[in-house]
Amino acid sequence: MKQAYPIPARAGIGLKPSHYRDALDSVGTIAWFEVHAENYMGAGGAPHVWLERLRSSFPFSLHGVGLSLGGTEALDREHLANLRTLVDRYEPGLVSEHLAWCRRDGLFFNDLLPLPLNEESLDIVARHVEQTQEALGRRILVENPSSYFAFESSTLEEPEFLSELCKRSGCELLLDINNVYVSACNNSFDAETYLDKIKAEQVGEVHLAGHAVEHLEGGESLRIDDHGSRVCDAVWKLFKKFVGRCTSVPVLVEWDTNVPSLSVMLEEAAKADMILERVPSH
Amino acid sequence: MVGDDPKFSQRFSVYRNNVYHSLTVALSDAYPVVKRLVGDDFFFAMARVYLDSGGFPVHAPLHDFGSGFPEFITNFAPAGNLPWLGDVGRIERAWLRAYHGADAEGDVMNLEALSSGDAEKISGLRLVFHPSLCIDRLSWSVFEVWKARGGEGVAGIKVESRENFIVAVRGMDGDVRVGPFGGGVFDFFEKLRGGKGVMAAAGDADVSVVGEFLSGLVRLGAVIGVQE
Repeated sequence: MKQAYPIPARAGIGLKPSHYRDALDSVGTIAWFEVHAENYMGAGGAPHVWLERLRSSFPFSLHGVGLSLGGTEALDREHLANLRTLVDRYEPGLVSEHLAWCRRDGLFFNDLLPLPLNEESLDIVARHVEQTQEALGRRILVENPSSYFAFESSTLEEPEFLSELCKRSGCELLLDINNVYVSACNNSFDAETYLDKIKAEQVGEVHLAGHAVEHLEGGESLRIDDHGSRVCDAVWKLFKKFVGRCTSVPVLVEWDTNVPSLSVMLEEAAKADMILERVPSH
Repeated sequence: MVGDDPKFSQRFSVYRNNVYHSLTVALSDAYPVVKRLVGDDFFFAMARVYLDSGGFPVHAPLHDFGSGFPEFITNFAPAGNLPWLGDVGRIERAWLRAYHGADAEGDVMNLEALSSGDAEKISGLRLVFHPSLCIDRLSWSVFEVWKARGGEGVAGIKVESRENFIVAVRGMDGDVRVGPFGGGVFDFFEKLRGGKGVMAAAGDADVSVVGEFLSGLVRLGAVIGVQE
């Protein structure tokens, strides 16, 4: 098997099964792609055949959604072993996971659930990231979540928590700017101030995506991180500002519900590329 | 914002709804024919009851999630007017397991002996099956319902109470094929899969029934080699 391509500092796309065939016909137009690790943990069959073909054509990143780094329980050894097998087999350019939990009492909730940000949770998450990196034999990236409420027991701000996590565990940050915007709107903090606190040198990848607005009883509205539409103007603006102080960073456009044609996703990636290219090189 | 604040409960419910929604969608992806047969509303209500009665996944990869759903459907009283619905689910489950099943190493080989028609030669053979092969026993003749994908043609299909079983296997081309077989050859098949030779497995079974079954398995792509 050929060595994996390194991920370029350009805009890639989250790849869905409905786009596999079109993607293979689009060599040269897709800078790189990302897939969810858990979808390739079956023993054999089509998912592996496709991933093998795709990774031979494009650089790719493996994005996990099931490790439960933010859970109080020990990491699931079987899941970690499955991830290791996948990483060894396909040699992705990047491996990432989330600041979230999704497992409790032997059940898997298939969602990225929130945790309070304090010294205790920082210890737990840093230990889990270290264990993961040790098991995989490589560094991972950890993504900031989108949140719908804040915990009273949180004593650390999220940028501070993430920066400290990177320092302690040696991981890098997967900065999801849509998540920052969604959380900022939902929890009444300023997204620009949040991004100003992020240390650019700790960021190994940026995510962009669309979100929905839900109107709650009582007139309140809530931003829902559904990855079901184009990136909104406010997020583009934040992205532009952030990349202004990065030397180079890979960017990914995610789209997981109401998935459009591949060409629409590539349009979004092209927009991100234009912003990246406008950044003066240092 | 605290737990008894109505604002908190609305926000908390976003997470709860996401959990249920993502898992019911995962179930509907795994059981598209069942969903089409009962309609979206019924399916999602049934999925919700399944999740709340011990159906939550235990692993992060969702390939095996919902393996107990067909049995649950069979015992789900509101679906009692379709007593065979669970069996449709069993075919879908077998299909999915074959889809994600292990790959075969190497190419199909040595099947000439099996298709030679030489009864003496065939009787001593042991068959090698594709590792993705899955079987399940059914109590109803629902194969045609599944084959019609639960679509418009279903109304004209007569479903009978009849012991049978299905074999699902991924061919060397990657496509999953499913075939129905009469319950009479099930024990024979189990012995073959256990490694017995054709003659030892067949015992005193009807030779023509056994022969027809074997050629059906070969056509399905279930047999990838023989050992003499």
